[in-house]
Amino acid sequence: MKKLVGLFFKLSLVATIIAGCSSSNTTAPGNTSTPNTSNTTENKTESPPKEKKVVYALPAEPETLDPTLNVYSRSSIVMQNLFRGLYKINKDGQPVPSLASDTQIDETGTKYTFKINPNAKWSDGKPVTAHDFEYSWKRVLNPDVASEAAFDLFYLKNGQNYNEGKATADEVGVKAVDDQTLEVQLENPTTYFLNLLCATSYYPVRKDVVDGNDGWTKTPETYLVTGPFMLTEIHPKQKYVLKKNPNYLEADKVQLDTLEIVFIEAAEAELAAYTNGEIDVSDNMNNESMQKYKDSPEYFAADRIGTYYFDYNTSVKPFDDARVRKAFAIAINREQIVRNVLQSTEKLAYGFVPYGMPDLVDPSKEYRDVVGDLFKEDVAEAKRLLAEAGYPDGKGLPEIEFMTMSGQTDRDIAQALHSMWKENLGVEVTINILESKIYWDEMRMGNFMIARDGWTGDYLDPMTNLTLFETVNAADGPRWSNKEYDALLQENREIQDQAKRSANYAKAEKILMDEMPVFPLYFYQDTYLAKPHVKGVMKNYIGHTYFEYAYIE
Amino acid sequence: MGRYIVKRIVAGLITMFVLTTVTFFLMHAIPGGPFSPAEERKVPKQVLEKIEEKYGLNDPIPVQYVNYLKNLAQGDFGLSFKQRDVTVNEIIEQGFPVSAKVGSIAIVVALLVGIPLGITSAIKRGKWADWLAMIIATVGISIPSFVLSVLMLFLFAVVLKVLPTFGLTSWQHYILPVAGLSFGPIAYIARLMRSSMLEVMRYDYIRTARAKGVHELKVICKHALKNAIIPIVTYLGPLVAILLTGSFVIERIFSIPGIGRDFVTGISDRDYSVILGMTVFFGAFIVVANIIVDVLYAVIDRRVKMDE
Repeated sequence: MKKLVGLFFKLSLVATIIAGCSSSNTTAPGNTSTPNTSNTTENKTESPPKEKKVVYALPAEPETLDPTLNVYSRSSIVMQNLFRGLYKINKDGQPVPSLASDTQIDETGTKYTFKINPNAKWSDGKPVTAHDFEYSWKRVLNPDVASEAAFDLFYLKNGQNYNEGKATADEVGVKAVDDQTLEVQLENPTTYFLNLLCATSYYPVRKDVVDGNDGWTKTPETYLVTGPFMLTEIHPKQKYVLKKNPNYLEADKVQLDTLEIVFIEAAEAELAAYTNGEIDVSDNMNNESMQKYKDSPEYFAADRIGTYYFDYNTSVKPFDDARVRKAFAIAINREQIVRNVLQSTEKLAYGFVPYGMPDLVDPSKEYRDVVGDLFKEDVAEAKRLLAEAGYPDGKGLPEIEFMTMSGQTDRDIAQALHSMWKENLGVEVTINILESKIYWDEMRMGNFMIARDGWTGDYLDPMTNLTLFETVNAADGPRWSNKEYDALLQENREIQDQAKRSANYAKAEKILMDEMPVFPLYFYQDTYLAKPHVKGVMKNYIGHTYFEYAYIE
Repeated sequence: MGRYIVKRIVAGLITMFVLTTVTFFLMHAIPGGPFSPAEERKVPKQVLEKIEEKYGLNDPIPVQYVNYLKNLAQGDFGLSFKQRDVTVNEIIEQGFPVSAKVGSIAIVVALLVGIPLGITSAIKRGKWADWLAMIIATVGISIPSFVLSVLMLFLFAVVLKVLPTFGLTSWQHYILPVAGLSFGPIAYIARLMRSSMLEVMRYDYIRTARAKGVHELKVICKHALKNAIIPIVTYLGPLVAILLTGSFVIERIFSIPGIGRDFVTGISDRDYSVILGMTVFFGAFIVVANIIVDVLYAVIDRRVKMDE
């Protein structure tokens, strides 16, 4: 028995020691794609290498290589370089036809007819057909496959019903009329549907290699792709070697011969590898790499359509009162937190819809610039609101608990907010730091008062951000409900007039920021480093890295 | 000896059963599950329910437990919940040889450096060699391996540019991780060896050997070392188990594709099959290593009777 106890002790000791050192790298949520920024800055300090090869690092191996099952950003990065669907994101961040050669949309905006490019081929040279898409999309929705990405295809007619077992596969709104023609029926006119087609869940997989072969993604022989690169070597946890796919529809435009994706977990190790010249492109940046490279021509930043924000639990006192919520939100100094505490270049948020989201009427403008700021920081006003709500100088407030996660950024922000609220409002806030799974569990159960949150959208329409606060979705977060807000968003699902939709979004966002069930801190940005000889590396609006347009100078 | 070994193996199996059971129920008691909500993706409830149903997570916990034991009896650790194309058996098969290779080199280095350091320190007690060895030992014990590893990484890879930073593709790649892994054990072994050596050197039989005019080197290597090494052998059991199964910190810093990382990430991801698979594997490893050490112990020191 003594030995048994000893063994447990040893095991638990080992587990405790290693658990105490867990990493805190952040991942980009969401899984669609489009480009925002590409590194085209001129710089000629190093001699160009002979081989057209780029080494790029990811923090770990992708969770899956099956587009059907993918909901992860890391996996999306790998697959966005291996697959192409009907549409893709071009260099300017816009969805453009890829394997589709023609698209017809009917008047109702719910029926799409795609012609597949007759020259579109799989990496083994066989043609890509409309049947491949029908098979793949139904596979995502198939309840037996149990894909987390099924939600992405609920736009299809009966997509959700099929996934929930209330309709058959034949009733789903996707049908291959012949090898070249794909008919798609949607539940609602979805103005951003072509944008959705650039996500991995809409990419095709081929029935003859997938059916009955769970290991189809594990060998290059069965891993057939449709994109700019193909997988030629898999070294688990070490690296993947991707070679240019000669059968890709636009192979003549792909300039890299080899893309090597290596896996480096620690940001400090990645910085060392980049500085040492062992990798060419690095995007797992920590404070140290920011400080070292922020002003160099090797540094790039791209807006991501996501927001770092905080949820109030509007079902408990004192945050059931909008005045208190607003007081807390405007009593802080975002500039100081982002620039001084985080030492970051991210944009400050005075609205919820992030930069990177184009205006619906004039896509050359930013939605954020068109709508403008929806609130401003004002300590005097915050004090007044708090007093009006019955808590002058914070007196009478219950003990406020602030829930956050264990990452360095989250903890730094929590400390800064703690001191700002104390200094500006006279309110003492208790910080509660939790491990991520416990954190989300507590939030789901409503055991919080103020909680850190963040969200990156999936497609270029403010719906992707604002839908979070519709009654049905807010139930697990701020527990806020507003009928007018819900109605505005629902209307935007049913109409196609972009001017009207734009006005509706602006109105809805104003309600959100007036009522303030959540308060935003800053808009996400993706930062990365690329060696001077590597050009054309692109980050899309949700942070996925594209090498289709990259070249060596 | 045979009876003793059989007894130990039976005890080991019981230990493994208890370990599996306790881990299984504790793991399910932690809040959150493999598919519970996260910032990464706000998957609707009805979709999650479908997934949990497919993976048998909707069954009552005792049913899940029996199913797990059934599969385990056939050597099947199950499919990872997070890396959805990969089985836990594959994770172990791919990662363990890598961790074990780096770990065994580190053990050899730790012994080859630690033992002579400890002996030197003991026989030169109070002299500068002793001080130097003990300074190294104290530093080795007190500086955490991740601090040391990051320092070495920057010094040798970034500043001096003489060693690579990640991966294991050439012999140079092994230098930093092995140094990082073995520094702590070297320090510990040196201190252990020193005190044990000092004690043994006071024994009468050593004095007798010296009185008989045996050469000092022979006294140390033949007579003293045999007894002084016993504490090191005891320490070697858990050390082998820990080093061969991979270090989370070292594997993370030097991007080594071993299994040390999977245990920790498995816990934070609530990847139940990975947590259990790794626990069973590590547990079995520690049990076996301890049995071997106990047997070795008796072989070296005849005073230990194995039937007791």
